[in-house]
Amino acid sequence: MLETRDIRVAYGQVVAVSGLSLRIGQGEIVALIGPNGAGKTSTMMAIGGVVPPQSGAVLFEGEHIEGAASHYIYRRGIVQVPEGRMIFSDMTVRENLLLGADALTQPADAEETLADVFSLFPVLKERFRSRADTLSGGQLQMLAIGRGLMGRPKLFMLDEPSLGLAPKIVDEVFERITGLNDRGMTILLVEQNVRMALQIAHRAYLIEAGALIEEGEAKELLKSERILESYLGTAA
Amino acid sequence: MLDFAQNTLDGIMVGASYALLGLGFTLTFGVMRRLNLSYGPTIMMGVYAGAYVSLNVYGSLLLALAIAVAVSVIVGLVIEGVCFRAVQSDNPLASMVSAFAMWMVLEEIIILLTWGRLFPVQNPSGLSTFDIGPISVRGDYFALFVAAVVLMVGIYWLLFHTAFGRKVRAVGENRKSAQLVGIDVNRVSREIFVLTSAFGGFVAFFIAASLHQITPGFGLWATVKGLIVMILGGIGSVPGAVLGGLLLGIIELQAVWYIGASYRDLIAFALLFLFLVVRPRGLLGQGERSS
Repeated sequence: MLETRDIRVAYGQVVAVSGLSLRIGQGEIVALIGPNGAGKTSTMMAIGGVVPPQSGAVLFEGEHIEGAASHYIYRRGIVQVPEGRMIFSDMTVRENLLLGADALTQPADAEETLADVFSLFPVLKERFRSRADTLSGGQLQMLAIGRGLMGRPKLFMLDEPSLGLAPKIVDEVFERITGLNDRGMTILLVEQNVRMALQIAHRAYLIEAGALIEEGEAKELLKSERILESYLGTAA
Repeated sequence: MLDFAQNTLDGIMVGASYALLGLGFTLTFGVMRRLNLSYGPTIMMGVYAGAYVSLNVYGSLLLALAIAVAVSVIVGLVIEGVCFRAVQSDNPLASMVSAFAMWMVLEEIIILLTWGRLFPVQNPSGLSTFDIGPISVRGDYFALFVAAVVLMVGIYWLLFHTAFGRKVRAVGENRKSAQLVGIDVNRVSREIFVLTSAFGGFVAFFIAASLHQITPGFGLWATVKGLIVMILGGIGSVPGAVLGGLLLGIIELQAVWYIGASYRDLIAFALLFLFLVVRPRGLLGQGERSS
């Protein structure tokens, strides 16, 4: 479904991703793991067209999108939930959700999608008219995911959805992500919570300093010595 | 006391038009994070075009208004392209200076075409002065006030009840987040130029009509009023611009009555200075935001 070929992302002189190639198949959950500053977020930003890659190719359903504008890529079906959620705090929950659909060419279906989002996250229905800055951290994450779903993603990219959340809420969020995948949604998950990410992912890529270190089935990687030592803190 | 009430009423009516000039600045600033100094000259071009047509081609005031709006929008789009889109520097000074240069160009064009002569502008409403009890209401001010209120209601509705308004506010709150929900930020910028130029041209025609004429100095006048109102109200605040406009209008007209007409602009600048010293974030400004 999505393939990056040897992409390189840099901010001025600082190289964030140097020659990364990923593949995400239809219906998969793919985890992108690695330490802080490994280039995980930059990879996502490059796929979404927010920070266009300097070189390399990004193919989505066979189409080259590496030079496309971010709003085009969004409409094509690649939606990301950014780290830190980036909710519009001056607006209501309702407005935040509707914004997810505003950029689509047929936002008329928004009502239908909204009902769907409510069934996944009933709390958003309860808080529909509240200002977003009155929500708790967990509710904000659900709002961010809900807003992303309003964009009717084919490929849904989530950046650190567990960040700053209580363990119980993290479980709930991950359960929803698995639920979305069960309904056929393809997911790219960027996580520092490596154990949880590998538990729900099909496949995973481990990157460090902008380059690929290991890739494979998530179950296999859970047993990989390198990952056990560096990320799960239990030497094999 | 009666004088004070009369001045206050006149101030509210004039201030409503100032509010719109402030809205023009504040909305553009909210979306672009850039100051469009040539906003005043943009709408001045519209007024000149409208007044010219109604004087020399066909004397319909509705047509004059339509032309004022259309020409303002066209000039606004040119400025957006030349001074903002083409100037992709991260330094906000770059587009500010280019907008300033454009202002000079527009002013020179008008001076060359009109030889610097005054241009009469007729009141599109044709209302004359009428009395409500002891208070008299100037017809041209009243028309200006009604036009401004209608436009403000329309702008409020657009901003807070449509998808377009959501996008504008999203870009204003955080450009990057807006990009992440698939908003075409450049397109929203262009649309905000169309909107602000359109209502600016409309209200500017009424303002010029209340002054009976337009001069090449109108651009400067409108830019200064708009900037003062934006700062009084708080940069980026829509209700702030409305309050700031009314405040400026009332204080100016009181000053004209009690101190003298020639002190009008001095008082306006003194008010600006006072705010910059005592309350730099304005009436409803939020100050610097962290993210």
